[in-house]
Amino acid sequence: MLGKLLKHDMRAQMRVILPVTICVMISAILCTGALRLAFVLSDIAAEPEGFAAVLSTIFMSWVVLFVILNVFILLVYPTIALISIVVHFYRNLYTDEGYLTFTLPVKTRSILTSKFISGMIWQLVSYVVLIALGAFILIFGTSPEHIVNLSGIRSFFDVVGMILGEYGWLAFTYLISLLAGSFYGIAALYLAVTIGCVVAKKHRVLASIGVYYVINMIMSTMMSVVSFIIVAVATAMNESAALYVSSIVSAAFSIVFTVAALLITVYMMKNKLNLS
Amino acid sequence: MNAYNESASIPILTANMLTKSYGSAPVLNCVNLTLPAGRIIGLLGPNGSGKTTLIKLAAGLLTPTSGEILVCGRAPDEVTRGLVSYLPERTYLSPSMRVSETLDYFADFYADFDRVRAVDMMSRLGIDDSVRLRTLSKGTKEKLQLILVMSRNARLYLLDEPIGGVDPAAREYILSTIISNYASDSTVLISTHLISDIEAVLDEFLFLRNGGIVMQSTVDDARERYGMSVDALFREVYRC
Amino acid sequence: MDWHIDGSEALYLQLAADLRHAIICGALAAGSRIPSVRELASDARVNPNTMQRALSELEREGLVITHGTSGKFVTDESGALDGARQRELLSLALDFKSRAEALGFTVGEAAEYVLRHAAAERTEQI
Repeated sequence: MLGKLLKHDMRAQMRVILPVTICVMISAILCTGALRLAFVLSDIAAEPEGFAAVLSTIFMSWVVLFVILNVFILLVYPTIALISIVVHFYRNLYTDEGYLTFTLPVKTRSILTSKFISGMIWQLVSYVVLIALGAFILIFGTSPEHIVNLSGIRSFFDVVGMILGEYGWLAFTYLISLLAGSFYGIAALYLAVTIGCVVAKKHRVLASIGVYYVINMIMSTMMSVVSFIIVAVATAMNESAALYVSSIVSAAFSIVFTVAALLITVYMMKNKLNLS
Repeated sequence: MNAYNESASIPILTANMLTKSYGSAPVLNCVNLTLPAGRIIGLLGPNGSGKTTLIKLAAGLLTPTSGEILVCGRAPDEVTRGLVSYLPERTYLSPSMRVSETLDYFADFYADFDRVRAVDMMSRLGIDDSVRLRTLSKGTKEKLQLILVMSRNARLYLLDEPIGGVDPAAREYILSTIISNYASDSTVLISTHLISDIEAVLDEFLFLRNGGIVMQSTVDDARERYGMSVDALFREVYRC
Repeated sequence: MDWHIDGSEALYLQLAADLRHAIICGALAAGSRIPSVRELASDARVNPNTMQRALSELEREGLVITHGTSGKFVTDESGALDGARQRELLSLALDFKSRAEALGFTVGEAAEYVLRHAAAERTEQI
């Protein structure tokens, strides 16, 4: 049954995320094109005299604006994906659609698990797309002389190689903590929406947002206090250990909070559900 | 108790001292009830008498404040949800779904769903299965939901106000569809405040008032004992 | 099928009367198969148990016969059908008699009136 829930959740979320992703991809391609255009224009503008030089200077500012806009779109894209994931969660469970979802012959925890896994998958997809498109722009749009910024790529791999060589495990641990953090992000949003919908009869969206801020405040306060203590202790022992320790602590926190958030969410769905 | 026990002696729906309150006011107050298999039963009462709450409790959408409710002897859980086919008062299908996707959805999750029957009923209504639900009229959407719910071979059908706010021709269609599709030996619980339309369809009825059952009887017994139709009886009982 | 249901008498008796009428008039042909209880109930928008009781009533009268598992059939015995037709006419006649008497006519006057006007109608048609 979980598989079927996953299938339907993934499909429903894809209906929004796929068109958005395609738009972002187009935006990235346009951005790269604009950058290349900017290089051409700046060459023209550099010429000492000529009407073309003046024109190209004017065009240049528009092109730069366009590039900035596209970069902004790219940066905002993962947030848009996340919002659409949460909106699907809200709509499928706490509006009229909830009458169908909660009467399916599946365990309540399966419903939440499916939403969590599908949310995570799409969120990761959005990060991967972001990185891939960012790389695309950097590779093909940042070298005035060549189409492919080979020297840039070379330097990048040099840096990566160095980091992995000296700080390999640290980088790995840091990535894990980021991943755990995004797990927690989704679980916290789901919990906030659930609490908001259970507690408030009207203005449930506002209530959910409010609950989310409260949860976040509590969590980040707790995390800061604990990691401060632990890092202070660790630094006293061994300097480089401090970085490791803070990554591990934040990863552990995220995992614990995620599990707690999911458990509380299931409890509320089972016992406190009251669809309008 | 094993919910798949085919013994006819297990009542389909049982309530023992079932109470549901929001805050201090109880919407259902110490309700005791036993519904046998193979009947069409009317849950009758004015708005606010607790009909929808009772149905939601049986469907597993609400948890009792105290007391218990059992479907085929089992507290509501994912197993009982597979035994119950629930039609709420509202449209619970996503408007962006296509008709064919709703069929897929029901076929995916409900082993007792008879897709052939559903498709047949839909085509007789002239519903094109490639269109999205938001393009259908409200009446057609309601009939679509009814078709999906009644195409399941469930043990208990919970229909919450299926004929309210619907024109007479649609009402006839809805009643015909209910009668010709419910699995035999299954129980259909219909909640409504429109009694005269539904009286001929019922085996039994329950009068609900202020969260309690004030009368439970077969239609024949009531007519014999009180010498009037259930509709007239209702007006008597609920006279302000 | 036409169904006439009102609150006046027991539902199954009214349904039986409608079925009887359909059989007598030939709408449900002699010897033909009757639709299933469920289909009839759905058509009339009544509870299948009630429809079953109506059919049992007609089986009691010999108008409907159950052939094992193949279903229910209208009898093809002309005796049973004639009997039913006559009983129907009798009940019509008695009803007519009591109504005519309520209007102040005697049975003889009322009967003569019927014959006279039936003849007149026939001559009009010719």
